Amino acid sequence: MLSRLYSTITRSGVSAALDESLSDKIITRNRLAFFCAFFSSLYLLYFISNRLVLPSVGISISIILFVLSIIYNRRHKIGFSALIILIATNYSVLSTSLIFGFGSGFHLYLLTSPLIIYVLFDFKRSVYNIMAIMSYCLTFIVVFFADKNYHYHVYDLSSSQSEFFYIVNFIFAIVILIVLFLYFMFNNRSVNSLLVRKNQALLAQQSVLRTEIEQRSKAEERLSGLLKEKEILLSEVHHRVKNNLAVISGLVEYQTLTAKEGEQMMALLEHKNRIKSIALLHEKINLEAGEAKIKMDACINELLRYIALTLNFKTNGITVNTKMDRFDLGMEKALALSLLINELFSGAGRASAKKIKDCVIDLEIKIEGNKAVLRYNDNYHWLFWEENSQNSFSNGLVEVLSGQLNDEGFTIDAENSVFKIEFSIL
Amino acid sequence: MSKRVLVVEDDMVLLFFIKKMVDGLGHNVVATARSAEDAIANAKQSDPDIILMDIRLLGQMDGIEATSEIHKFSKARVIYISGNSDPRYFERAKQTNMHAFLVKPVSTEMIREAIDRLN
Repeated sequence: MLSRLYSTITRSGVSAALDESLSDKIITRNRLAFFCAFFSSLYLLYFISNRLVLPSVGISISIILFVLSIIYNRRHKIGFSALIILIATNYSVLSTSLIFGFGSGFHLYLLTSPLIIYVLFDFKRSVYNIMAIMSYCLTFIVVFFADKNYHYHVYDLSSSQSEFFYIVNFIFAIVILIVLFLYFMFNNRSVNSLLVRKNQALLAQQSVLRTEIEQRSKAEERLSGLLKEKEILLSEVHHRVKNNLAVISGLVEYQTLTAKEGEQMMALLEHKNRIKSIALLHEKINLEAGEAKIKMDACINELLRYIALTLNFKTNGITVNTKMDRFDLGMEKALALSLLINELFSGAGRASAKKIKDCVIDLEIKIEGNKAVLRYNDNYHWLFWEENSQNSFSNGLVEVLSGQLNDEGFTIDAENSVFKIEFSIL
Repeated sequence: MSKRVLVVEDDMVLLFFIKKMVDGLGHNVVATARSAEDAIANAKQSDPDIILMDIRLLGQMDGIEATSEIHKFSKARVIYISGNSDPRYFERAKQTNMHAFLVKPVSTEMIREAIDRLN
């Protein structure tokens, strides 16, 4: 029954939700307040039995203060509770010493003050510790000088009474000192065991983490290996595509060696250029960017150089003026644009075949926001110059490819031989 | 003026076409090779004026490494013909004192222009 009461009082304010170290702190302070109240109660019984009213009132206030500190601990106001214990201990020594005089030995309880401070405040909070020490020192000074210099005390005790109080207070002070000392020894051991337990838990967590890191790193290695394999595979496929296009181009090239000059030869050269238009896209595609994009300005310039070489622009006096903004396209649109430009320029080859001299071709691609505007213009009106132009193979391709770039197709200014198309670059 | 040409290409079909193009230009293909090792051996044996060198070849060595080896004993001018104009390849190729870098598919005109610039 008593042990349950003791446990209820000392564990007042402790709950499972609280941190372990905070719970320990609350229990320690409750124990200190409980013992102080217990010793004060013994004095109260003695004072009441001897009908000493003023000491009874004084010590009752001390008991109330100690109980109050337990109540505040229960409400988790542990800072306030510590302050109450500090006031209560100072007040108890001060009041009893002023009532019974310095010779009664109540000031001997101040010997326990360092351990009380240790219970109440963290070592890190040096300001609180210093203030608490100073408060106990001040109490001692007041008690000492009040009696020794001003001979102030309420009751004049006989020498035997004074001796009795002194011995009792001395014994109680020593007992409290020993109890607190033993408590700290025990508490240190329990703190150590708590640290050992926490350390073990940390080591276990560390081992789990190490295993997890190892597993992750293995998975990462596996993934990176797979990625590398895929990169190699992709690069190999890409290389094969380019080589195959080179083979097809080579086939056409080989056929040109035995083909007759004229339409047959022109058709083969145009096919070769179409293959180059596609091959260049595979050459310029940027696979590292994650999304396959092609730098079209560079690609078109290279294509035009190739067409100029294949169709002998230099020899045939064909001049090409280009003006292009930088832009990128995805594979589908890039293919359509590249082939479209090839078809537009192939007309120049046909014009030279028909001995038309001094051809000038202007190609302009302007970027306006998310839109590209292509403007092709020549001075030999190839789009309408050819007989049956509506049914020609090249014009049919121009229509299909334009439709792939823009559903609305292209516009033609027949009078000035201007071909124009707008398309989104997204 | 007719030149002595060594053609190095791993793909047999492409090797055939390039050889035909060079023949068509009136030059003399003195040897062909599909690997770097063969290219080095044939360059030693046939002492060409020009080498048309692919970059990806059969075996461990690539065309750029083969060119470095060939330049140790030969003054032949090298024209790379590659399916890859990746800047890393191009920069490596530049360090081998190349004459030209052509990107596949090549045409007779491209080869002619590159060879003509040698003169």
